[in-house]
Amino acid sequence: MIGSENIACDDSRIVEKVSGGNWRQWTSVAVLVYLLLVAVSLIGGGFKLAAGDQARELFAFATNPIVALVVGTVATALIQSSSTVTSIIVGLVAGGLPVEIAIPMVMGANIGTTITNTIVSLGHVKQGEEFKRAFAAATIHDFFNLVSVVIFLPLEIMFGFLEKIGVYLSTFMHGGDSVSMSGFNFIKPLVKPPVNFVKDTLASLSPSEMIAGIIMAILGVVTIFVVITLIGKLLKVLMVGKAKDILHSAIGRGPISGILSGTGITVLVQSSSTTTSLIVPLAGSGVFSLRQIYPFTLGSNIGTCITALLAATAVSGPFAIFALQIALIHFAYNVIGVIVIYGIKPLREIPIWAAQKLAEAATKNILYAIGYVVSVFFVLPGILIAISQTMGW
Amino acid sequence: MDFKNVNIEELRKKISELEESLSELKVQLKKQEEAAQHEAIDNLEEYLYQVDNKYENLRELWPRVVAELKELMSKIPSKK
Repeated sequence: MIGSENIACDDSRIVEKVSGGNWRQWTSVAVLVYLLLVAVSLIGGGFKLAAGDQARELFAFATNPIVALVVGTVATALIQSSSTVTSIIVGLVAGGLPVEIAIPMVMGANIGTTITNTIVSLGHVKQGEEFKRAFAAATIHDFFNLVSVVIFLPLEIMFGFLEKIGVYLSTFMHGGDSVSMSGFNFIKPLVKPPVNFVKDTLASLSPSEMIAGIIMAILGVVTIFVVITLIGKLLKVLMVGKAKDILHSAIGRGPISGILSGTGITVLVQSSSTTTSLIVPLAGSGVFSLRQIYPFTLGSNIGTCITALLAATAVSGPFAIFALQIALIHFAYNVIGVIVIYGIKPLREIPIWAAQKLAEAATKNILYAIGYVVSVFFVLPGILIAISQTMGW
Repeated sequence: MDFKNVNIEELRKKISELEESLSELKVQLKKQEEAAQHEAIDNLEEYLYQVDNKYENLRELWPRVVAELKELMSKIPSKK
């Protein structure tokens, strides 16, 4: 098995960490979650400071939903974390980015995050049939998300149904005329002091509010990236036992159980990339069939929404309600996508068929796999942007 | 085996026995598949290792890509 010597070392480190006191790791997780909330507020505050009333104009290039979709896709493919990108988007919306521009970005984040499990599958390239199974297991997630965008982005452009759903759901989570969210008010007073400290410090040191705002936003972005990476590493160690329990309980049960299991594991490890990447070697070994792992990957789409929802609880200000709306829209989009695409048999079969066909081609010639990754995550987005700019959309 | 000379009742009996055996085989297959799945899940840390070292595992990929590209280039006719 790949890396078997290192497994013993990793296992002993895991045992040492567990016996050394889980409370240290859990405290670290709590601190990191707090820093995540601070970072989201930094982005929102910094963006507001830098852009002022010009937030819409600043993102005018992304009013074209195709461009916004591409921004979300490429940013997530590069960072390899949809949790990071969606948290940043929540922060930007809190700073004034219009929700209608953020929605396609969130859809793009769903697509971009699938690059990680595709890279994991390429590690099986020498193993023939194992590679075919692994690659299909990875790309089925890509194709599901692509189908979801093809169906729902035009509907959103025409009817704005996701935005309406976000507005509706947010009414349950905030009280009356105030934009503060009932039940989450205890978080904001904890997050505000460090944000105000950073803001005041930068404002006193920087030559202008705009520069202070930009630095603040960049600091927030970097912090989110570091924090989510560290949270992921910690939770992988802490939650591997729970993840196993969830997977064990899902065996032999139907797809609903698979979806719920995928959701549960992703919430536990705070990373859809981890969940979907774990599925790849499981499927590659042949122990799980493509149809069996399909529901798990869908569950990961839903579970990953928890990070943005968590981030949205911490923001304050006049746009806080919109930050909550985009987090709820992200959740609703993924739930509706699963219900519609997996629920309707002909639609359900499309990602399966596409993943199997591509995997067969990639097994015969690896260039199909490389071409696919480069095209979907980088070349095609670039072409779409060029076309939309040329057509003046 | 020549079934032409087997009477209807015997054919029905054979089919019934075969269907029963098939059901038993399917149940046994499901049990063994699920046992293998449980075993794979118990080794989840190994798969986590593959995920954490995804770039190291790509060492095998580059030579294969180069080989395929060379083969592709060799198939392209020269302009001479």
